[in-house]
Order: sequence, then structure tokens, then C-alpha cells
Amino acid sequence: MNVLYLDLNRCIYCRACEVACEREHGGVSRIFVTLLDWTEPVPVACRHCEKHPCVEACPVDAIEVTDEGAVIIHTNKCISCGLCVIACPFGVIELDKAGKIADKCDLCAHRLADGRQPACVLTCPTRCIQYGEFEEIMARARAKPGLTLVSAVGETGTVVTMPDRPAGAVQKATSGSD
Amino acid sequence: MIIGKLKEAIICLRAGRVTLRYPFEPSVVPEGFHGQPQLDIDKCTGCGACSMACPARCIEITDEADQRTMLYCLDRCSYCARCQEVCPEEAIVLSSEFELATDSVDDLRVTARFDLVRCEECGEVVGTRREIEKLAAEMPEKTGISVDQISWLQLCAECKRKRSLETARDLQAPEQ
Repeated sequence: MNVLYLDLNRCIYCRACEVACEREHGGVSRIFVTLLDWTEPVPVACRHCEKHPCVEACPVDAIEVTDEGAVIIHTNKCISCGLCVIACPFGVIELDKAGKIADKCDLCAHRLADGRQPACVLTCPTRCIQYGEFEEIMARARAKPGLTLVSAVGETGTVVTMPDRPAGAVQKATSGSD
Repeated sequence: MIIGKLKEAIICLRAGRVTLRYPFEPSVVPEGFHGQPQLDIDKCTGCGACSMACPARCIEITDEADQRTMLYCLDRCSYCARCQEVCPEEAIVLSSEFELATDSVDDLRVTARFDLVRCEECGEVVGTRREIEKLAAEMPEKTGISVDQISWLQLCAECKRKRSLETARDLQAPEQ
């Protein structure tokens, strides 16, 4: 099964992945580069969890798990009840502003069908986002410094290598700094 | 000519009464008739799917403080039954009621109020309390996540993204 891999030591906050995702999905990005403690940029996209709360929450079975392990939303079935938005542990499903339809990363299913990589993976200038076989990704990730974890609900899903910083090096921003 | 008129009269008399005695006896509507929508307030979770589906925009949702108000303006209803089709709880059903003439438009307006849950961190609207309680009740059984692990239901999407990262960060560098 293929998964996304995020090596957070490499993200430089250029947000090229967001632009690539917007270009690929009609102007709305489904990957969010989020600042952690105002210092660490982290691209957050759907984790494609093995145990998927969104699929269980959907009352009309509009969310489906494909054979490749991708969790995709069939937007034509969505009734915009917003239950998947509440159920998602990572906050990567949002209702779009215009049609109020739930949408999220589908691992660029149309590109994978053509044998191409997802747009964010190809675009990332530092190869922070990678896509490949789960076992191979895990082997590659474990060889690197920093904590490697499967950041998803279940055994498989998106693999993340956290930034390699000594304990206490990251200064927490005070609440008044924004 | 008179014979012709007589023949006509005989034909009409033989047919008997062909109309209903409607106002004096009830008219039975066929099965699947689209009458006035009726809301079952006990089933409704206030998710707002019907409001999105309604082509006549009969269902208005306003979020204020800690309450969501859903106003059903049934005077505008076109009886298309889209709300019935989309409702995940089967809480809104088109009944067989069709005698809707009234002196006051308020008779055709229904208001439902729900408790809102706002994001613990930023105060953004997350959903209604009923939606979240329903998810919290179903989630452990369906996904195998234990109840105490489900902490994200009270957070908005943006704060969930931050919280999940902070959780991962804290795994690496525990608080000192």
C-alpha cells in the first residue's frame, strides 16, 4: 500500500504544495502548511487513516476507501451535513465556501490513474513530501534523525518524521505574541 | 334536435356523480404524496444538510452565541422533498397534509433551537451538541478508538491541525 511521507526537517515554508494543490483541484487547496509554535512549518494533508473516523461518520457512504488505501470523498453523494469535518482527528476536511460540499486530499487520484505522482509530491522543492510503498517509506524514515511516527488512526497511513530538535529547543510562543 | 338533447341527458344521468364531495368528506391523497414537511425535533441533530439542499431556501440557519436556530419557512416550500432525501436522521418527512390555508403566515413557520459547541481553543462553531454526542457515541464501536482518546470532537478544523502536531511534537520532546 502506498502512503504519503512528510519529512518535517525539510519543510521551508514555501507553500508551493498548497499552490500545486490549488492548481490541481480547481482553486481550493487541500493541503495546509501550518505553523507549529510560530516557528515550525508543517504541511498537513489527509492522513488516509487505516481506521477512518470520517468514513464511519458519513451517513450517506459518500467517503470510500480505494484499493490503493486512499480515502476519497465522492462529492456528488455529499449532503453537506458536516459530520466528517467534526469526526476528522486532523482537521483536514473542510466544507468549501461556495457549494458547501466536504472536500479533502484524494492523493490526486486522477494523476495516480495516469501513473503520475500527486501534485504536491512533484512540486515540493526540498522533497519534504514523498509518496511510496509503506514498508519502503518506513525503512527510509527510520534511517533519519528525528522521531518517525505514523500520524494517522490505525497502523498505516501518512508517515511523519518530526523536526529533529533537542528537547526544549523549541520556544513556545506566549499567548500575547499574535 | 330534442331527441339529441334527451340522449345527452340520459348519458349524463347514467354516469352518476363523478366528482368528490371533498369539503364535506376528507380527500385521501395517494401514497408518496408531497405534502407539508414535518420535522421530528427529537430526531433532528441540527446538521443543516436540509438547509443546503433546499432549492427554495426555506430553511434558514443562524448561529448566535451558544445556540443554533433553524427557521423553517414552509410558506416558501415547493414540496420537492430534497430535504427528506438528504436528512441523515430521517427527521424531516413530507406528510400528507395539504390544507395549508391560513390567516397568519406564522402558522407555516417552525423554529428549532439547538445547543452549539464552540471550539475549545478559538471559539469557532464546531457543530451542535447533538451531532457531537452522536459521533462520540458511535466512534468507539465503529473505529475501535477508546472514548478517552477522542478529544478532537470539541475543536475546529484549524485548531485540530495544530493540536495533532503539538501532540506529535510532545511525544518527541516531553515537557520539562
